[in-house]
Amino acid sequence: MNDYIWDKTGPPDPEVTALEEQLRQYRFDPERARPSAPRVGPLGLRPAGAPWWAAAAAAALVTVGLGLALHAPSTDATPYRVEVLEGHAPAPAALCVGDAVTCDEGARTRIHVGDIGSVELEPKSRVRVEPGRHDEDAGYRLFLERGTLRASIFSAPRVFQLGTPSGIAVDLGCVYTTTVDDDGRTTLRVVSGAVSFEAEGRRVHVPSGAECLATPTRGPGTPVWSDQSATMKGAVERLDGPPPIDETDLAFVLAADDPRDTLTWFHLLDHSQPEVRARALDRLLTVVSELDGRVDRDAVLAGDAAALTALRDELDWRW
Amino acid sequence: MTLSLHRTDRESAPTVDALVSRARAGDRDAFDRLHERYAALVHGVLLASAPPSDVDDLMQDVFLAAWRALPAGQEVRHIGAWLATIARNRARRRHAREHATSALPDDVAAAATPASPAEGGEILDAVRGLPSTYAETLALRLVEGMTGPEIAEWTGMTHGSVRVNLSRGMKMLREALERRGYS
Repeated sequence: MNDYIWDKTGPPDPEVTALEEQLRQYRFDPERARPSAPRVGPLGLRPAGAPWWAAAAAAALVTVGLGLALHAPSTDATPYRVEVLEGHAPAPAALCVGDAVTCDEGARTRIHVGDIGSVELEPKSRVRVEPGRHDEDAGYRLFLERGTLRASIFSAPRVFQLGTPSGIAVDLGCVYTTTVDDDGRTTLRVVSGAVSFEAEGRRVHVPSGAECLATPTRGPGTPVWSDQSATMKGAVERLDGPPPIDETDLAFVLAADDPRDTLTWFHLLDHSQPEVRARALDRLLTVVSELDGRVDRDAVLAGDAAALTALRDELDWRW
Repeated sequence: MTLSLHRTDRESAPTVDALVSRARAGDRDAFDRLHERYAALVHGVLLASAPPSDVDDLMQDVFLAAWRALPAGQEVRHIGAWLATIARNRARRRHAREHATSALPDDVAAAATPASPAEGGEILDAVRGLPSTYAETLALRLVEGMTGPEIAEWTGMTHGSVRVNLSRGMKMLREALERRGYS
């Protein structure tokens, strides 16, 4: 091996320098890679130009009252601006609470959400503007009545929330797609970042690459990876359904041995059937052997919030 | 970005272990500095297995995952290797989900035109088509501009492993580009 390819000493190797020249355009550029930083909120606790991820991740460590890195909800009376991308979509150019945007077949619109991002509405979809929940720092709230919406939001977690007939998708700083069918069943697919899908006291964490099916009666279901087989997705959906569960479905879901399936098994710890919870935990501890001795099994099976949070913190870097 | 971003002033800068400890305690400035140090590494590992258009999104995922895991007590023997592992996992999941097409079949371009210099996109495609170990090392060397010793330091590999990866990787890349009809 010549020195140049190893440590760039010695005379430059023409083959290597040609490759470097052609590939230089793909080199990491911290300035180009950084999206427009969200404005720092009134507490100003994060210096301008701090990395984007600091805002998106701050809520994981912040206690209520500190308000670190919160983006102040816009005081603008019309923070939503509508841009018709294609076809016919009757809507005011600037939306107020109660206004709705409807995309006919063949129409697509983009709704700019303050200065934190935008959502795109697909054909045959309808979304309306809801009042912000300032007690939850959710300054921006939309409700997807039907159809498909793709959100690209870059803000502090929970500032943007998307309601559906089956639950609320709380944005944690990400890009995701939500589809509501005529029965109100909602499929949430996360492309980048993470979403907390919440309803009736149940909270499901849906990371990048995963999806969650929710229904109006049950709320968010157990998340699965979008690249899972149809068989796996069907088995998980049936496990989320009314009892009795099918042993075949449970055995199939627990038979995988990929550590990333801990996402699905972890959320089965919330299942109504004690047997499902116990077997899901057993499977988790078998596949993730380093958890052995570090998990309070009884507390987890009893649904203790602190124990479940501690367990999730051990797992979620694999997701 | 220049190489100086990789070469911190070792005598005055906190050690990596110190930064990891501080980040684990929730020190965002410390994590910010870890991000500065390892962003190019993560970027290179991602480029080796994901289309360039996906890399920025994936970088978000990787550092968010790391940010959550460190304070939760995640054991990290070598921060660079750990971040690279997260990056590979994320890229693999995205690739499987989107069924990303691989580079052109090797025999297509060869029959089309006489050998011509490959452009950046074709070269990167060819790199991504190599076994992942070689692809990553080549991406870090040829795209991110790291030297062999730097790659060893940032990834936790031995110098010998990096040398082998560079040598074999370059040979395989050369052959792949020739099969595609590029000089």
